[in-house]
Amino acid sequence: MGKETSSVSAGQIAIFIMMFSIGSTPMFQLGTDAKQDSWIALAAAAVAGLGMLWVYRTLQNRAPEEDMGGLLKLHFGKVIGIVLGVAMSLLFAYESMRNVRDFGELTLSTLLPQTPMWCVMLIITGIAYYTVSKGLTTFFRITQILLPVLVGSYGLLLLLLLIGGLIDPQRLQPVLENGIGPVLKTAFPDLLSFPFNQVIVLLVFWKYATGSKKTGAASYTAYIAVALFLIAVNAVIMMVLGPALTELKTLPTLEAVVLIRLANFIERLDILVTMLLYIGLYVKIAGMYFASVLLLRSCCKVPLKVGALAIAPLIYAASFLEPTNTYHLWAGLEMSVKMTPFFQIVLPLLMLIIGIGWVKRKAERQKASP
Amino acid sequence: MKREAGLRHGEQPGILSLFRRKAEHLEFLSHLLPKSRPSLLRRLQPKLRPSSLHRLPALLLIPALLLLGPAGCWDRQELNELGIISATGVDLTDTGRWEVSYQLVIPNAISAQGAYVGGSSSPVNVFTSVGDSFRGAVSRTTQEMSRRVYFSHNQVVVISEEAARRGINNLMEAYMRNGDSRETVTVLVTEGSARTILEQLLPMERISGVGINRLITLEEKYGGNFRQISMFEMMQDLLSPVHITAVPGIGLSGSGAAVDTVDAAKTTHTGAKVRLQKVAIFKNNKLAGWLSTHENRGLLWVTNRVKGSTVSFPCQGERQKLNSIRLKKQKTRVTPVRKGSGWLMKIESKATGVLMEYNCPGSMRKPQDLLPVEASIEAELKRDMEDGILAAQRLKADAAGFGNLLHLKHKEEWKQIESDWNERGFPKVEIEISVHVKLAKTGRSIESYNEAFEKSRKKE
Repeated sequence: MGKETSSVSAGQIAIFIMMFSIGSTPMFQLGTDAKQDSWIALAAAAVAGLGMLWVYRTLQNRAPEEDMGGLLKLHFGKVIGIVLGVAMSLLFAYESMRNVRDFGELTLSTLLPQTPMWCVMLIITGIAYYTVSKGLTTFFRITQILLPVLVGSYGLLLLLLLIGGLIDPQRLQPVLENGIGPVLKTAFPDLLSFPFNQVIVLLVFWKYATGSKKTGAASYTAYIAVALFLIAVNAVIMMVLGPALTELKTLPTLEAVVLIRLANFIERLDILVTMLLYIGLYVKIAGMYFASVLLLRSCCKVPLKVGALAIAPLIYAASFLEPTNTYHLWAGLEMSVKMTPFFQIVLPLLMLIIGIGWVKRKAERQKASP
Repeated sequence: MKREAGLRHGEQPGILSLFRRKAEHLEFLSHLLPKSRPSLLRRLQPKLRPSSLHRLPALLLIPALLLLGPAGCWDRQELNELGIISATGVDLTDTGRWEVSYQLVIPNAISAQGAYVGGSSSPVNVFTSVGDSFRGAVSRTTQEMSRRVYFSHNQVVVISEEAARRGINNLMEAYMRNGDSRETVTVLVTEGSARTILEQLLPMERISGVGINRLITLEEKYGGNFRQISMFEMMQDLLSPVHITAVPGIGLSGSGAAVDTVDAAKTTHTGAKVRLQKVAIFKNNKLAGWLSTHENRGLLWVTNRVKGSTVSFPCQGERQKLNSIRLKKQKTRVTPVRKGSGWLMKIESKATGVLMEYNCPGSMRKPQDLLPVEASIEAELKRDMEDGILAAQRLKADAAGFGNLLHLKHKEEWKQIESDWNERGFPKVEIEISVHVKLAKTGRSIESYNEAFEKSRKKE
């Protein structure tokens, strides 16, 4: 394959944003510190995330032909640009590894409790590697194919929850029981970093959609749609379980769906949820992994094939580093969300400010005389 | 010829030699193929070139695919290695340990034709294990049961009064943490031993655990005296602001011997019967006391949980409840109002029903004829609700869920009274009940048979 010359359409970018943002998010009930107001916290974070999306998009518009690595080099010069780019690439690999581990933990706690985790994680890493090796076009097409499955299944689950009479809007009340303070504290920075600011990977993928003028608009629309979806899922889970039980369970979505009992034979739909989470996790694992490899290429000229081969074992090996599931969840929802804001918020904002005006001209000059 | 000779001499046909032999074989056949299609032959020939980098993904995928096979085997569950449990009982031993009983389904016995007589053998087998913790007790089943106990088809959990008085948090914990024990299981409380309930056989049901579950489902749908409650709903109630839940009771009634042998099915009637009776009120995870069926019905009305019920009511000015109505649409709204230092609950209830039996004088030809009938039904329902609330107040347990309403509608005041609501606040709550019953249909009669009979006698 060699050089990656594939291009994607604005629609594909939009679908990718949706699939990627859904990812593993419904696996966790985010913002439970805000109790029944978790959906408000999520909404607040989503609005802030929209602002960040604008920042990313502005950066991209300065040099539409460049990706993250190129932009970093343009803003900070070659050396710092490469260092930051590689760091970013490793961050993406880390995020991918987190999802690999999620995949393992999910499989073991629901479908296959006796199966060793190394086997489950090896299979998903293998699939992700295979996807990346097939190239960007293939990956984006796969997300396109998977989207109807995801949307249809979530719709079905929602319908069944409604029919089963499990949704009780009273569980969202009283709204803002302890004021807006705890809600905002939950939302920032944790909920902003995960899930919303993870769309920073778009800075790697947008470059391949320069052919279409509608990319920006499509990105915003997709982001708003998926944010509304995630807030709705969050609120529904809360309306089914209530704040006390939501906080208790490791997999609240699964728990809510387990409660569906209809006509004495529609029971235990947790398998369906597991499958949905598999789809989301796959898109996330492959997306992050792909972003990592592409960024490595644009920074250090590492060919895609070599990059993919180097990162895959890294992801697989790193997924064993966390000793327990508790540690894994703590690291993900408490620790790494406190560190990623540097790359997701501080760095882009810094670039936005220092690069006003001159970066765009520099990029055009570079393009004219390569 | 050469190949066969090689094999005869004991040469192992390794993978490479097999490929080579295949190639020879194809070359041998080459004259059969048209000369213009040599590419076909080339394609059929096994490629033994060293793999280039771009084929590596495919090669890596092979071990991954091979792993998919065993991935299914690690978690296989063979049906003939499982002991399927249909009901679980929780008792307490004299030394304060948990005594968990299991109703094991005997597949052979239930596959036979007939009611609960599956030939001559019992359809279920009840056994018990003891432990300090629930899962500890469950793990001890391997000492006396040759099959691994399997809880996914567990229908009911019966808790004995003794165990319930000690507290059920440990049971909740065991159910919440493990995926194999489903929290959608129905919960019941018995005054006696839980094991005894599991040992009973039900007419028409081969597996009594399934039968008991059907019993409570049916009662909730048509009787309106009990509410089926699952482990999960119990948790939700106990974690709600008032920390109160009501669980239907089950016990043995009737005279005579317990129905724990298949021989009991040889007679047309059975001695003891499994029967839903009384309702256990749990407060802060412990059994606080019992309510009667009648009192519980009133509380179900207040909490808006009646799905359908048949209500008996007297004629105006009489005591004996000669008449019945089947109520369908039922809706209750409770509004808390501040009154002095306490609270007044305004309870408004609406229901629609069909007359089932009517033995009072008078006809029902005009709309205003219905009013006195509706009034006496309303009075009956009002009394039910009052009795239920009074009984709950006696137990100092807010089974009417008034505290939950205060939490929703008066959150500031609730924060101050929250801590001793059940003990102090709730028993002092005053109530104001208004019921509106709509007699939508009077059935196929306009007046009662009694009335017609009296009329015809007067004519004579």
